[in-house]
Amino acid sequence: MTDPDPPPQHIPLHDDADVIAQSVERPELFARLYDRYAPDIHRYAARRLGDGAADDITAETFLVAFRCRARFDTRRNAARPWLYGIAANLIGKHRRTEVRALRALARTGTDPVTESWVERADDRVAAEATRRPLAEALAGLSARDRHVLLLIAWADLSYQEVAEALGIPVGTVRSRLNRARRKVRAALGADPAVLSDATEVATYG
Amino acid sequence: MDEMTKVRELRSQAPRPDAIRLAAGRRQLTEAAEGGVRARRLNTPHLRLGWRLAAVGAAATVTAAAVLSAQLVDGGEGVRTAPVAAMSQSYAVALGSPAETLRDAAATAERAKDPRPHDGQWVFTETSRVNATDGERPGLVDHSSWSRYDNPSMEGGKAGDDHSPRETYRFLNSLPEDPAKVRAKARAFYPKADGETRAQHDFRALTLLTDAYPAPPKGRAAVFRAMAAIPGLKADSVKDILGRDAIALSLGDKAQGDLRGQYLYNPRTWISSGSRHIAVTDNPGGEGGPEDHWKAGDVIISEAQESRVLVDDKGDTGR
Repeated sequence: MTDPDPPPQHIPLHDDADVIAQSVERPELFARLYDRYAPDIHRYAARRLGDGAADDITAETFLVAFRCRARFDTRRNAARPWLYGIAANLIGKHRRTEVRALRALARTGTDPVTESWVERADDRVAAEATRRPLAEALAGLSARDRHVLLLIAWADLSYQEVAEALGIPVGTVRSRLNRARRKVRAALGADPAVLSDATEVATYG
Repeated sequence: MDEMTKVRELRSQAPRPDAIRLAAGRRQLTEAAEGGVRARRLNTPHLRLGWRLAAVGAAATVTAAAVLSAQLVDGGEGVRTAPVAAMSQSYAVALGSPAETLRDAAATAERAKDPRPHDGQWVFTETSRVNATDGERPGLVDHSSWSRYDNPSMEGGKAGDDHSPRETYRFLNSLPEDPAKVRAKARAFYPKADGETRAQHDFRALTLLTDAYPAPPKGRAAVFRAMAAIPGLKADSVKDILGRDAIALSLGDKAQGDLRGQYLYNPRTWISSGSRHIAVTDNPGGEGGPEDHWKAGDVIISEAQESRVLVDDKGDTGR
């Protein structure tokens, strides 16, 4: 090549922020984020809406992320919360479907969301007493509280990561989570007043 | 057992999806990224070989893709079993006057048959691709896909710079003869990207249009004629990853990024036959895997289009 000896350039690609920054000029690199996180995003979406919807939500999450990758705050190293935030937003568009499925589970004991991966027989075995009131409680939460609760319980995000994902202050995450937990606890027949935040803070905060 | 444990247990049997399940989403992403590659890469290889190649039109040698055994995931991607060097040094033989070459291209394109597409049809595409930066699949990857000819979600600006095949076909059909007007319309169809010069913008928009399928012959010819006036345009004779001869069009400007793009055409028919991207500088790669190491002149990404055809149903391959 005829370039006058350009200085060797190292393009580190291990960090998500590096991949995203480089992908602005080299879009094909973005597929690495898909390989890293699509399985988690898919599984999370499948738990909320079923695996058919999860296919679309996963694909759409990464397309949205790809299109707005130039706006990713590269001071953050991990793309995981950002991707979950996009997925949560897309899942939010199916709020009625999600609530309908939870109510069906509460009413009948059969979960339409898990039908594709749970054998009927296993389903009956697994249908222990708490599942139905729990589903009813989740259906009764506001969409915002449900996002916070399930990002923590199902996606294993920390409070800080949920705050990043949803673009809200950490204090708001905490208060929404407390409200959601209190409602779930009441639905399960326990005393909603006995709610210690300490365990969750220690584990996930 | 507290309520968080109960919540965590709900639907906890949800399976982790396998690669096949995730393949369609990955494909959509890489297709969007490939559009992005075209949207941003406007670079040119440095060409050292100066001799003119006579009778380009007679030089077409088609290597049967079947020479390499392929394992295809149905309608998706398959990694070739035959070993392929992940990165190979590029070579190119400069052709004579690019303007003359493009006039030939326009005359050839004009003689082609109009595919006369209609709503409800699908465009079936088969490609082979090597992306040396894809650590998971550094070899030759076969890819097939169907895209809907009339896709309303990709029309009327709903998909940004992307257009459905129908919208592009209609656009090509509406092009005037005047090359300057064609360039202006093409720039409006594919709006300017950040930092692009006029020549880079023209080149990107017009090469995207030459890659459109289905395309009306007159429209394609107008695009090649409009391209002839882009300053710094280069035409070279190269071989693609399948060993086929191709004419590579590129821009002679300084590279904008760290890769230079070449767009490839069948020398006999001037149908788009692929693209390749060549490293401008060495990348020592530090502690990264082999996919992070390359030298200036390495072909980093190379794609060969094997077939593209209009079919009546998704799943048809036209064979």
